[in-house]
Amino acid sequence: MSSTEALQKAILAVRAGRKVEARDLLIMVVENDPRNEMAWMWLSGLVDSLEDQIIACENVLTINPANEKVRVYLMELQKKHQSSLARKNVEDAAALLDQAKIHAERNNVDLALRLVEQALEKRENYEEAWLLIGRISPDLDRQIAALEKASTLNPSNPETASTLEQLRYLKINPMSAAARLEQLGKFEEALKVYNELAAKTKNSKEFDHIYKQIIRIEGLQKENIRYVAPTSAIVRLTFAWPSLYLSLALMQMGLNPIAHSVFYLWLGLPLVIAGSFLLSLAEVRSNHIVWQKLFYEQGDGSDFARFVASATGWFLIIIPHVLLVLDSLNRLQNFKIPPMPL
Amino acid sequence: MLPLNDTEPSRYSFFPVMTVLLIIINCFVFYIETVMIGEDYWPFFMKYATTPRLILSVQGGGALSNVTAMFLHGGLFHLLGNMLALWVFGRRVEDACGSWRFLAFYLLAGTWAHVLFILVQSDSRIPGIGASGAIFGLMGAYLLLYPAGRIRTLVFVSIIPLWPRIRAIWVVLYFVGVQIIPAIQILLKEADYSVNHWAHLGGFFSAVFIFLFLRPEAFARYLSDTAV
Repeated sequence: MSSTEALQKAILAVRAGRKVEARDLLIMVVENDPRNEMAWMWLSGLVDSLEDQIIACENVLTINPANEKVRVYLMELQKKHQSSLARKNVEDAAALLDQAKIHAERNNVDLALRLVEQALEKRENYEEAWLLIGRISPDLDRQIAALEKASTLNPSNPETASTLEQLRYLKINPMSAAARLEQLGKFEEALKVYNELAAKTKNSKEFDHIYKQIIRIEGLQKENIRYVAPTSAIVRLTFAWPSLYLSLALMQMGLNPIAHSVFYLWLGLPLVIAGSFLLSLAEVRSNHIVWQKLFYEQGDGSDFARFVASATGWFLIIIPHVLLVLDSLNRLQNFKIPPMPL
Repeated sequence: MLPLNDTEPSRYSFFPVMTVLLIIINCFVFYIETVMIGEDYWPFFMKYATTPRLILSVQGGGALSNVTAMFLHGGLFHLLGNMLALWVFGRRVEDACGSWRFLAFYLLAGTWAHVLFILVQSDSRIPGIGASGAIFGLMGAYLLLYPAGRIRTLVFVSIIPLWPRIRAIWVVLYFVGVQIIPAIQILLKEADYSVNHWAHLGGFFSAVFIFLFLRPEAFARYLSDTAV
């Protein structure tokens, strides 16, 4: 069968709705006669994938560059192709990021970072991916660079701005950075920072301090001491003083707080809780929001902020206890001593 | 059996400031009690000791009496025995807590010792005094934190004095064990004792609160099953 016959047969098959047969015939035609413009044109409408359609149209234009209709059609196809490619990249990047998040949660930081990088190769302006690097990367410079990128992509995200500010602070204050790594249970990384600092410092006092920290952390590692998050330590210690106050208040109310309820003794409880919280906060080094919100400080609170928190804490704890004692003294003044039992 | 000293070293602090301060205050209060009060002790004890009936009827000093009662003692041997135990068991518990939280725990244990005493002997008009409730709290805390610790203890085999290092668990269990039968007898109203056994047990069980008072590192060590 000649190419012309085959082409005519293919056209008839298309019109009769036998597309597969028509496509096979047209493929045969273009294999025998690759410069058959008509065959490529018909074929462009019969192939399945967008890529094949584009190839067919491109072949038409190679044979006849003056075919404006096909040129316009090709441009549409290319646009469609690009947008579907972009959509696919977005989907792939999202899937990679999801996997990265899972690995980050399992502390497989290296693998998580590799996956995020792959996600960024697919979609460069992916804010969430940059944020994840900013969160999990062990390299402070890389964290800062990632958050700067995220901040450029979305300047209105206050969380990014605040974290970026904190990280810049830690870069200037490496001791705080090391302490922070320790708070996060990253003892190895904290040791690395301390060792670097010890090698750099020329101040003997500072060296002693750093050396003590190194010995302490190495001791914790050697004894395999479990990591306890600062937040849980703060919560635990917050209950210490209120438990005493509550017991004393209970005693003051004759062990029956319903029958002998004293209103201001109950009022003292939130004060003691607040005071105890501030004391715990001053003791347990943590990157707590209180330091940022109340003292406008980054990191884990300066000595001054800790002193103020501690002093306020003591004040809040002592006041209700003093009131309790005053109430007792008042009761003692009006107390009639019962006779001694025989 | 008389515990003499805890033979293990401290980990976090050089000197048990609060333990020593509590011993000094107890001795000073005992001096005031004996020299200034003398024979006329009844009104003083009514005001500053823990009397179940008064506490339950919201009379007298309430919380303040509960605290002051922990610093009153009925005699020199009562004071010496308690202070020795405070030194033996308090030093390392203070080390694990820090001075101020140790004080809070001490007062809490003393308070819960009184709570159990009041609940069991609610109709008693006999004032309860002594640091022993709080000290039993320290014993319980010591047992939780340092079960493998060794206590230098004076024991007499016939008339021969020996001072072996006994595991804390046996020393504490001995002191808690000897409270149980008298405590049951008090509960069943079969006997009356001048020793406040229920307060001792109350103090001992209040030791579970110690976990709220531990230093962060001591708590992490406890969780890691390592010497606190």
